Amino acid sequence: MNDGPDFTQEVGPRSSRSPAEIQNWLVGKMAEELQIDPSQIDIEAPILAQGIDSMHVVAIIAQLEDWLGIRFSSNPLEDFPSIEALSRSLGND
Amino acid sequence: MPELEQPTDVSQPAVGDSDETSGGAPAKFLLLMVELLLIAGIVYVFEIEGRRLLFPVLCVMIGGFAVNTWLPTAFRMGFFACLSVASVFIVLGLANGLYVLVAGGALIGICFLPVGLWLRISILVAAGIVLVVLRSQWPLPVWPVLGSMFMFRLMVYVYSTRKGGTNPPLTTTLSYFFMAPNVCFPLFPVVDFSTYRDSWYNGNPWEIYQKGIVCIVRGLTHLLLYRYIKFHLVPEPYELYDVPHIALFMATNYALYLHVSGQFHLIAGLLHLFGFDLPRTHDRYFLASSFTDIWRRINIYWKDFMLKMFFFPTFYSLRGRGWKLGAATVAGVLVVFVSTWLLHSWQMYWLLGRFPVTVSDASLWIGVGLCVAINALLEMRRSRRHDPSAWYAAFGLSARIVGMFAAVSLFWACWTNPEFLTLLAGVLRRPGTAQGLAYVMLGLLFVVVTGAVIIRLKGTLALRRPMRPALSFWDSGKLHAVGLAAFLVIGSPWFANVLSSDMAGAIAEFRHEDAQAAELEQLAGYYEDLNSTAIQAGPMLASWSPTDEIQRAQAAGFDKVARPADAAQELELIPGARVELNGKTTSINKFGMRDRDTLALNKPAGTTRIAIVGSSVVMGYGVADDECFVRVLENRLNAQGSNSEHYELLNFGVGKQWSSHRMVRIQRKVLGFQPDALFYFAHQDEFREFGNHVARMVATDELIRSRPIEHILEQAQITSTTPPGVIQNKLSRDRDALLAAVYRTIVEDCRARGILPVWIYLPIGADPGNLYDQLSPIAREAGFVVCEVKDWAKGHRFSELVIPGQPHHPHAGGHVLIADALVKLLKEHPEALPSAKP
Repeated sequence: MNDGPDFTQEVGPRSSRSPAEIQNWLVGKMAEELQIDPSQIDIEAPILAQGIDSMHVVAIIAQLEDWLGIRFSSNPLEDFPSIEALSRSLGND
Repeated sequence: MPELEQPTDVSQPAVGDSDETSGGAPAKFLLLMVELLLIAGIVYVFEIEGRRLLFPVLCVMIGGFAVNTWLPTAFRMGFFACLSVASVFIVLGLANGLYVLVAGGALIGICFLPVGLWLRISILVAAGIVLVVLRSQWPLPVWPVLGSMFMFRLMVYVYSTRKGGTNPPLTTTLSYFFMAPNVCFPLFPVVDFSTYRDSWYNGNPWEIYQKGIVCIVRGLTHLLLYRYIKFHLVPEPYELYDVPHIALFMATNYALYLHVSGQFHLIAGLLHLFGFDLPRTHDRYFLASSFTDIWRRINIYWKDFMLKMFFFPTFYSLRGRGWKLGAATVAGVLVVFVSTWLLHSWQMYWLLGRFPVTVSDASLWIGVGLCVAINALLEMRRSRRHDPSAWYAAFGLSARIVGMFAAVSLFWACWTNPEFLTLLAGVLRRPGTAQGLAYVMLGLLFVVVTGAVIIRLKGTLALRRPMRPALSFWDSGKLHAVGLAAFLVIGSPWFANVLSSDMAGAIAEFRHEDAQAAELEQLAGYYEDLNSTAIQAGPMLASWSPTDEIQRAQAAGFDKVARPADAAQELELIPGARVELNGKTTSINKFGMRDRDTLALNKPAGTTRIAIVGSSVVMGYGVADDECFVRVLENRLNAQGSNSEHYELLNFGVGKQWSSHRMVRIQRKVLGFQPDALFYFAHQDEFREFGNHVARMVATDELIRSRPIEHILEQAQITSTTPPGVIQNKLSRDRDALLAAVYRTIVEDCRARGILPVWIYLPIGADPGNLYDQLSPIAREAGFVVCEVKDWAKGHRFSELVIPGQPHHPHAGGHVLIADALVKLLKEHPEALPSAKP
């Protein structure tokens, strides 16, 4: 799971973010979008099942791409639907 | 190769088993069974989805639930797969069931072939092409069922399993494709395979079951609301001549989608009973506040299917090629809507056997796609802001919801009725439009204000009271059981004795409306069409499935094209009916007229319209559509006039009706067509029955829009509380005065609209009493232009001019003679013919 996912292609220097950093970033964005406390975000539940609109998820993922300096060539949430799974797959342990 | 079914595979429940063996399990099971039996009772009593064979299938599923609940979890998926396959045979019978099973099994078998993904997909495409060809060549009743099981789910299944090294367990696959309620609901939600598999017993089983009951109740509520709207609120096509009726049509036509959402909630609820904790299929879509909001609320499974199969692949493929976020989003959304348009035709092909692809549909779907794309971009970029005033926010939200409802209603009207925009343009050109628009705008303003108040109150209550926790299993179960029991008791025929006769009659009518109206559907539209075919049951359920053919065979003669109506009309032609009478095709158009399908409510420019009102002779009983004297006369008039003159004769003839019925029909139906003249045809039966009909209207408190008749009723001191027998006696004392009142009403209605009223006496057969001499003074006194076609059969024996065995109905040759006589009459009486418009 911690191997680099095959659905990305680099568009800049590879990020050296850790899974925890990515997880915190995603939780923060989700909480901001849903206007709830970050502690209420379920990191194990599918992102799309947490009441957030798919278009907003697309926007958050696009911001994540910019933040990490990568570009997804397929839907990352298909294989890693939760915040935890996505963070682990993208993080550089 | 398929993955071996093991207790630890993803199909197995993760939690909740311990609860099943706890002391409360039998009691919980009992409560669920009570709820389910009450639901079955409501479905039976109200004949809900009778054409879909819902009641017998529901009984099978309730029985299956009772067994499934007590099975060890390792056997449950297999049991559901067996139940699903068995339900195919129970509903369709052995032969048709085998067709579905063999064809479906072959498609599933291809998915399990130990070859590469692309080869498997190629073989599936080839098999699909073969099935498409077979479907077009052999119209078997199994195609809608087979199609609805595989047309989308096969795509989802292949896509969802493309990456795995092993196939999912065979039981999961079989139950996914043959999913039990699918056999009686060809219009079926696109259940995602991953969601189906992963949601299976993913929580407390009893909570999942109870969620299913809630879903089913929600579905039944939608279906009953749909029935009420369809039969009581949707205006008739001939009423769509002013802005308020157009607005009502738009709103109620969109509301008919409750049929689909009701079916989908019901289906999702039934799947919950077997452990599938599926998400909600529709979420208060009438309250959507933007284009993206309606897309995320209405048919959520379809949206998820589109995102998974079309949006994300397009979006990330373009992003990977360096496209900007906005451009990739717009392209992805447009691909979704073009696909939605084409896949709706694909669905129609499998369910109904036709593949409609029209430019207007494409424009509509792409137009909506653009709106959603722009809306999505705006939402992505818009930062969340807090409105300074709660009232301002409430009004804003309420206005957006009302605006969105109006926009979707307009889209729905255009999608389901391609002529809607032309109709709307014609109505807007009519006099009195401004007043109608003002009424509609005031109505919308009222709804916006009411909505804002409700939103504000809800917000205030939410601030005062923290969020309520969800109802527990017991609370929800007891609440639903009590509600269902109360509804069943009130709706049951046995309770009718307690109610007033009016109330009992209304409930009885409501109980059977769906089945009665199923004989012939008058509403057109994508989903109405998809839901129009009855399931053709096998021998086991044949008695539950009276097909249209059986119902038609039971009807005879005029009953084939007519159906009961309210007290004022008593009988009406069935819109859309097309049957053989006396070996000749009799077509009824969407307005319920023996006339052309192409007829428009708005009068075309340069056309002179003449409305023809009368009996079964006028209707052309027993002759073909183009043989009726109305059509022949129209051709004669247009042939003899100059090229710039064009007459359109509208046939409002209906059999088994009398002068008072015609008066009502003129008021309700004829006037909306803006005729320039009205030809009222009378025969020797003009005095017959009409007095009794007026008496029945009075006794049932039916609104009679006639000042002359009201005057007679006042003079005779007749009210709706007067005993029916007394009303009949009083009215029969002076039938001339009553007929004169009917005639005067017709003339007044015509004159108020600049319509020329013409009364034509057309004797059919012997007329020893020379009724013309009795009737013509009454008609003349009322204000009609009076004419008589007395010698139309001259030179022939009348018996030679009628259909054998039908002494009152001329055959095609007789109709030609009537038309010839009318041409001659109109030349002799130019005052009876409105001048043609250049």
